[in-house]
Amino acid sequence: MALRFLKDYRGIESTEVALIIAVVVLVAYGAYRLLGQNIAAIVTDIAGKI
Amino acid sequence: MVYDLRNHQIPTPLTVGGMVGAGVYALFNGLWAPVLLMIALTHVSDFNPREKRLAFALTLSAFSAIFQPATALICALILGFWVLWEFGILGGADVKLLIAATLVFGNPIVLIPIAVSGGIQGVIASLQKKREIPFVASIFCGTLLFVVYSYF
Repeated sequence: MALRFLKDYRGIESTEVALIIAVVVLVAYGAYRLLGQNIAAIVTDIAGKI
Repeated sequence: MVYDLRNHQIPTPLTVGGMVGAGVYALFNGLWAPVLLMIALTHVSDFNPREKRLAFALTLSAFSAIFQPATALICALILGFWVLWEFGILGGADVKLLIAATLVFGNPIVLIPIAVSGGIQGVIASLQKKREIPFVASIFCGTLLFVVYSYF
């Protein structure tokens, strides 16, 4: 049965991880704002070819 | 959130229930590829060894994004959360709640207030010389902020 993921009830992270996630998400959002249209076009193009 | 603050654990029925509810809601909103990916990753989690899990997860995510390109970013985020859980960086309860929030809103922007809340919580905890934080508080505050902000 697929339960390893579902049964995991840990709800705690280290402070460093929280800070890193904050930085990564903000950088990723910035990159998406800059490159989002191009990424969507590439994915749509691949989907069209398949 | 109360459970997490008290015990740093969240009862499985709460998180799984939230994830299932979010999945059903997302299906009604047409986000079928991310929901199928979520179900698939739940199953992939039991594969062995880890390399097999990662390979399957990556392949399934790519297919989800290709089959429903409009949800490619959501699929990538779900994969990202799952990988963070797989490597033990995020707790399972938090990952399930993050996936649920992403599916319910169908808008990855919800992660920005969550991440910022987490960052603020991390800074405060660091100043208090604490090593660990209950991340579900950030998930709750960030989601609330996103909902409230959308009304203005």
